[in-house]
Amino acid sequence: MVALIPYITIAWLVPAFPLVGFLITSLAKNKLKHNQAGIIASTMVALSFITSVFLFFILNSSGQDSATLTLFNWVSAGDLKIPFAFLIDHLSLVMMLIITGIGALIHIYSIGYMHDDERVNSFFAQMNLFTFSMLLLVMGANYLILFIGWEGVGFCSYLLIGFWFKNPAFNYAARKAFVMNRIGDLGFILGIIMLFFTFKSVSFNEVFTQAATLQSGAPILTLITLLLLVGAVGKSAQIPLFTWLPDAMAGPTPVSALIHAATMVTAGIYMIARSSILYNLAPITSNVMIVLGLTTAIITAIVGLRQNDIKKVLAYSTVSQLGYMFLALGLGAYSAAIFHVTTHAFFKALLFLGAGSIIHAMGGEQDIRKMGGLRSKMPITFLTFLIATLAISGIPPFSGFFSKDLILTKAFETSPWLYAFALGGALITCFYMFRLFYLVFFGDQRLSSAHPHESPRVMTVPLLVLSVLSLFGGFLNIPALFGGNSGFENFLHKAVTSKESGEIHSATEIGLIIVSLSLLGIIILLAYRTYVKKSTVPAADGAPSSLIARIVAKKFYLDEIFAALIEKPFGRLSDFLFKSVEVKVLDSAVDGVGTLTSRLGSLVRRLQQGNISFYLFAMVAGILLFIIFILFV
Amino acid sequence: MSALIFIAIFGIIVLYLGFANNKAILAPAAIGGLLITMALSIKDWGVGSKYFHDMIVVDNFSIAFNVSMLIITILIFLFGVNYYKRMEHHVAEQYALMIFALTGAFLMTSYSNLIMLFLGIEILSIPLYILAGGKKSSYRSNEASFKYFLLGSFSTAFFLFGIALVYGASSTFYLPEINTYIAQFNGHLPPMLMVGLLFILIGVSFKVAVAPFHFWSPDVYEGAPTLVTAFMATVVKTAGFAAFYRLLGMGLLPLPAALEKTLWVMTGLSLLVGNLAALKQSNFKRLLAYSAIVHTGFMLLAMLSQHDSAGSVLLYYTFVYSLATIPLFIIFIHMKRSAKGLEDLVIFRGLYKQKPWVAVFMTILLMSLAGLPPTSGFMAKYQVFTLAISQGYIAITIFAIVMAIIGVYYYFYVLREAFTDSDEPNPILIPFLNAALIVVCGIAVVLLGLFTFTIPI
Amino acid sequence: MESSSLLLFFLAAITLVGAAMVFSSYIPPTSTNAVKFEPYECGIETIGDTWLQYTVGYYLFAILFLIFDVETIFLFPWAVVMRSAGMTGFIEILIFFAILGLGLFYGWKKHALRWE
Repeated sequence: MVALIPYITIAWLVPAFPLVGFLITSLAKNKLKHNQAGIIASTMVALSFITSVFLFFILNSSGQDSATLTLFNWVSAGDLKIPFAFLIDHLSLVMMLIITGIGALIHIYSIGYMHDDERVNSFFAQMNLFTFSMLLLVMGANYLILFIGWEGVGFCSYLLIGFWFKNPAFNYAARKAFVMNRIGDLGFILGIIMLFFTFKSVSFNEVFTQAATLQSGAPILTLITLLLLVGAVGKSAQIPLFTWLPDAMAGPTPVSALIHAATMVTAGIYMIARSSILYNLAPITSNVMIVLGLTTAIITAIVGLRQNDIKKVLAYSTVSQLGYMFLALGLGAYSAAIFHVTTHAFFKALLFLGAGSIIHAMGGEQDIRKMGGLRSKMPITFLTFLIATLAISGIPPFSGFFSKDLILTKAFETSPWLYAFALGGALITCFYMFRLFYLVFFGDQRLSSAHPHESPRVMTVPLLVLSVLSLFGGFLNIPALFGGNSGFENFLHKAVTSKESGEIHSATEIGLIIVSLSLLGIIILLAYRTYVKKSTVPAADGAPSSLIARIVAKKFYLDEIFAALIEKPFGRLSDFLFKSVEVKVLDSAVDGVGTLTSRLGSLVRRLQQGNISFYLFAMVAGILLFIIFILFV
Repeated sequence: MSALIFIAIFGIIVLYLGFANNKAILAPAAIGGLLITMALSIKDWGVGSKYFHDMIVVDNFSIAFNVSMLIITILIFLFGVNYYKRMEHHVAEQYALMIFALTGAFLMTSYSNLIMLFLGIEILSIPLYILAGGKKSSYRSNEASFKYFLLGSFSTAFFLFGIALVYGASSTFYLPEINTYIAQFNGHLPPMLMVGLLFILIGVSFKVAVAPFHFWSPDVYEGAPTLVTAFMATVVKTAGFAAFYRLLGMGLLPLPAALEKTLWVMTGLSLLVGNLAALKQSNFKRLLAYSAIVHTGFMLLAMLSQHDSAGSVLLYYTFVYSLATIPLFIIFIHMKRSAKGLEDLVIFRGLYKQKPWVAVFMTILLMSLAGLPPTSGFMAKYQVFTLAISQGYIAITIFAIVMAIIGVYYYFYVLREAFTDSDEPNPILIPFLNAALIVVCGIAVVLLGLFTFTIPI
Repeated sequence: MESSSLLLFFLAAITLVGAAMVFSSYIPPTSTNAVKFEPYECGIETIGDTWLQYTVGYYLFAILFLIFDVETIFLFPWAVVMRSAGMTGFIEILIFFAILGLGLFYGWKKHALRWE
């Protein structure tokens, strides 16, 4: 299908580097001194990044759209023939660049952040393993390799959330993330099985070629896309499976930045964008995605308003932004979703790393009510955090503006109502982000025991690099309105098939931008008035508050609803299964089988006494029996 | 063909090297000779020629199996470097006898005439009778040698009787001619021919220890010197199965219904008897003997499927089985030495504490024997099962899968000992060469699971 | 049918052998007394273990003898057809001798010919 592009074969190096890093850091865990593991791990990811950049130029200069690189034949059983192959196209390249580029920055940052941790070597081993799995996920040329990467990142996420496993609450958070992902994975794997039964293949190329011949809205496609969506909802933390992500903040902050903001949680978006051909043919699923995405975006943004833990705020904002990406996917604007993935990776990684820098400076304190006045103490962190906050709020010319505006415009093309809701969510985002920003950096320092200081250079340099990206990342895709040529969208156009949408008038578009910008300005001023002028500090946890506030603070009681709807019935069921079925029926049956086999074993063993006459007798008896058997039976 | 002649002469050369009174050159020389043999074998790849009035056929099948056996023998010789360090006399004879046995094994992979098969089996067996008694001062070793010899002669007698009966019926020793002769009966064979074929099958079954002709194997495995046991469990088994497959593939396919049922019963019986006896085994060598019987059952299952690709599956199975077995024997011998000669499973206690990486590799190897992913043992069993199911042997395959699951118990029982702390730890010393063997085999066992190979044979 | 005749043969063999064994235990006169169980030969009871070790030297010589024996057996037929077998046959018989000679030489070097 694809003529081999010269030098494209170096693609296998991209996942190989982090794998080598993982092997070195994990095997020599006890030998490596303080910074060595971090340096090795960072170098490996950086090498991956350089290779990815090379690949980018190789693919671009070749004039071809994609290349499949088959490493070896992996599974070959009957009809099922699955090569271990990588698919290098524009979509996977974008993801690879994000993963390795931002990954390398976060690895470097972690050298400073994790400096004092005694298990720092394990940390870097797990981070490298994660990077390897994530690269497998985006590079795989079929759903099975994608699934392996999918499970791999889930596993690493579990390890890293529970990295400080001495705290039982952190362990619980890790387990919760794992279980919720499992629910999603069940749907995902069912989807892959259905794919295989329908198309007799799991390779992207074959599936999409065959699917293109099916009729739009075919029930089997709706079923498959819905099942895959379940997987994506779990991994990308959408309603109803999102509650694990805020809890996942138990992990070290670089982990939150890499896994729970920039890369792993966008795996679901990637998978759906990759399957864009299938989703284009399943309008029902697209509508489900619109509803899910928009609801998630708004509800979690509201919840974010009342959070006081700096990382929790960022976590809810991540879920909310992921909601926007789902909205874009549902609207069929797959390249817009990936564009938002990219800019979001820049500014959210920056936000998390900035938060890490703040937490580091505050001596582990994460409550924003106890911070304040850090502007002068940590100038670099302040500046970069400001850029990221402006970016996530969607202020031009920061990167977030371009990607979010693209999604909002697409929403408007479908329905003004969608636009209104989406804009509402964006305004709330803007408010809680500036609330966070003002509380942390303005006013007086409220915790007297801490002595904040700027972080070491190994941490601030990645911040600066990321802030440059957050600042200019949006220029990758300047819309036609501003005289650009939508470069990013055109670039991705070869890999994902976005739905055709109606053009809207450029005057309308300008009008929309003016409306949203003026509203954002008002919101920022409002936040400024509340938190800087009046220096309001959010109430302590136990303080009386209104019903709505309580509901919001309790995250709409989603955890409790989950407990009542799923945990309790399942708990009862498992109690029943354990006490009645397992202990009484299965255990005794299994024990019985075990005892029986063991008795038979003794019997057989007794035959073997070392007596050679008996052996001869047994042989002859066997031969005679066989003779009688073949002659007379 | 040149490989066969070379290895036969080379055995004599090694025998005479013993007079040089220099133990150190033996293993390198022997390995060098095997490498030359391997090169000579590979040279004939894809040619496919016949010799001695078509009595010997050198084709890809035989070359693939020969190379596999050569690799395994080289590993065993490397193991021998340390194993024979303490032995003063007759070291050259040990190597020479194994090379002679290998000559017989070569004949067994490339015969197309029953006389050649008989010669091959005897050339393989007689050195083994001597090797099994290699520890002259040990009663167990003598006993093993004698038992093996007695039972082996017994089965040879049956085997010869079978050849005679088949010759009497068909007046030929050539497998292809026997095949055409059988074909004319359309499945209803005359009793003389039927009994003759059965006796031949039993003769070969004895060599690979198929139940109910397995009784010799636990006693001989236990009594023979460990290196010889490793040789018997790997090379001899590979040769036996190559011969078995050639017998069926060239001479007996499609299997007459009665013989097919016989094989069916043997398969089930091997799986059952081997597993049940292994469950209660406390001696490691006997445990591996029974596990070998179980593996024989799995390989018979592949044979039973009578599919064209069974040869390739058998090659893969025997090869990865051998790769996992040899390092286990190496680990065992060092544990045995540190435990002052005990052979019980308890000697593995404290391994993890003292040599964690060995315990890790042991886990991989035992997982491969038990057939757990991601090791090659899993892929081997998986291929056998898919093959058998694709040919409609559902019931026996399900039985085999159940048996594979039971097998996990006793392999992990060994592992549990390895990960238990010892009350009175003895220092475990593993020389570099043996450590390297363990590591290389362990890695190969995993890699071969990821990159399964099939050879067009 | 052939197989039924085989069955008949088996049955006949088993019956005959069984009958012979049964009859032989009933027909002869039996008498048991202490003297009957004493060792035969010179009437001396054995002292110690009856498992004696014999030297294997006899077997070694027997096997070495075999070399020459087999050599002669093959020499005679070769001698008969020597002219028609020609040079090829001559070389082949030389190789055959050489292999046997190597075996003999090996035994010699290992002191198998020395009587100890």
